[in-house]
Amino acid sequence: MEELKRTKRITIATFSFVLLLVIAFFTIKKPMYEFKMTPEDMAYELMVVYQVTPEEAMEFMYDSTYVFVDVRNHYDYQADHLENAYNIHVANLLDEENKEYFDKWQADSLQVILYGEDELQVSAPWMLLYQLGYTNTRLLMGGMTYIDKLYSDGLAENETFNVETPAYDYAGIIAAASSGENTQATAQPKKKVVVRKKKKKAAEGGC
Amino acid sequence: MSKRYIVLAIILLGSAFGLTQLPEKGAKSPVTPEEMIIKVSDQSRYLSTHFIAKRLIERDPSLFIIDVRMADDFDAYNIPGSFNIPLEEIMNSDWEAYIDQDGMDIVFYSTSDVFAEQAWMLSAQKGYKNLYVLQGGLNEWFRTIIKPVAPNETAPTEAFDLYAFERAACIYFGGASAGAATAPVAKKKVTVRKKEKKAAEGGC
Repeated sequence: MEELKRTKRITIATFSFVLLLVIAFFTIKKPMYEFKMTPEDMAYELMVVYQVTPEEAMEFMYDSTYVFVDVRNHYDYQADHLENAYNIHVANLLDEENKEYFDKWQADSLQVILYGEDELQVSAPWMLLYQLGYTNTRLLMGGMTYIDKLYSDGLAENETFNVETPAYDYAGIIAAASSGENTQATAQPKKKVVVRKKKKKAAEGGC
Repeated sequence: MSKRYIVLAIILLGSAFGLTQLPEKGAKSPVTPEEMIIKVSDQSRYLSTHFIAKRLIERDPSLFIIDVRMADDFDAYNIPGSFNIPLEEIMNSDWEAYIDQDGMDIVFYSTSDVFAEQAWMLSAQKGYKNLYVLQGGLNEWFRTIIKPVAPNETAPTEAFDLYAFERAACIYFGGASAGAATAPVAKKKVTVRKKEKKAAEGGC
């Protein structure tokens, strides 16, 4: 009799456990986004070149396997943007409706090229998307600033879309400064302004 | 009786096996992607070269500057007081204690600011606090601190004050001789007031 009771309890406990598992499985809330790549893995991935040069971007613009996404705000996008580019502002990058776009582009095996005002603006959003598993995304070097210059005023001498190029000879400048070369113009001595007191003129006239 | 035990044991084992077959969760991160996008949108992580120069001159002990360029570039020139952790090594556990310092402001810099931004992004995902990026990087450092450009004569007074600071910082950071030409001092407008002619005293 005692054995039968025990068996009953074990049976109830087992089925309760299984029931809990089933409920948990069906009610689990899956987050919309999850990192698919750790920061350590991403640091390794950064060593591989994923950027697109402005010249390449110009070629890809009319290629149907590429999609351009402008991450600037709507005002800047309206003012000037690449042809056929979508506008998804950085702050709205992970919105649900935009997720549908990114999922679709990935499913269609399209290459997504993110661009902003400059490379800095798009670097972090690109890394985020890449780590979320959208490995079909790449970023445009130089951004709109460079493209605008390229097609309007032209570039300054030695100007490049690769912003991580030194603009100065750092060590050379400091070495020259410490050795006293290229000394700056010495401060000109201040002119001494002599203010002469006007002599009081004797009162004119008089008796 | 024992048959029932076997059935129950099979059910439990089956459940345990089912748990092992659950899909693998994504890479664990103390910061969610949604939190990261808020951090990315926040521009307050960018610090100006003037701000950093001022804190260095004041010998701010809570400032820790990390140069993420390659070791050779760092050896050739670096911002005084900075520490070198190349970008590709930034996630090595050896450097964790340097970057994960609650009481310190960690400022990343590179030649420009793209690599520094990437170092910030990786570190921010690890949940480290007080992370910043030197805006414009070394190129901006040289443009504003080591080789400052004098403002136009018509520039506002603030521009001249800033330039005066840049000149002083230039001397402090050893770029005095390489700096720009001497500062044009804003011309003071001298108003010459004509003296009113006094009526001749005296006279008939």
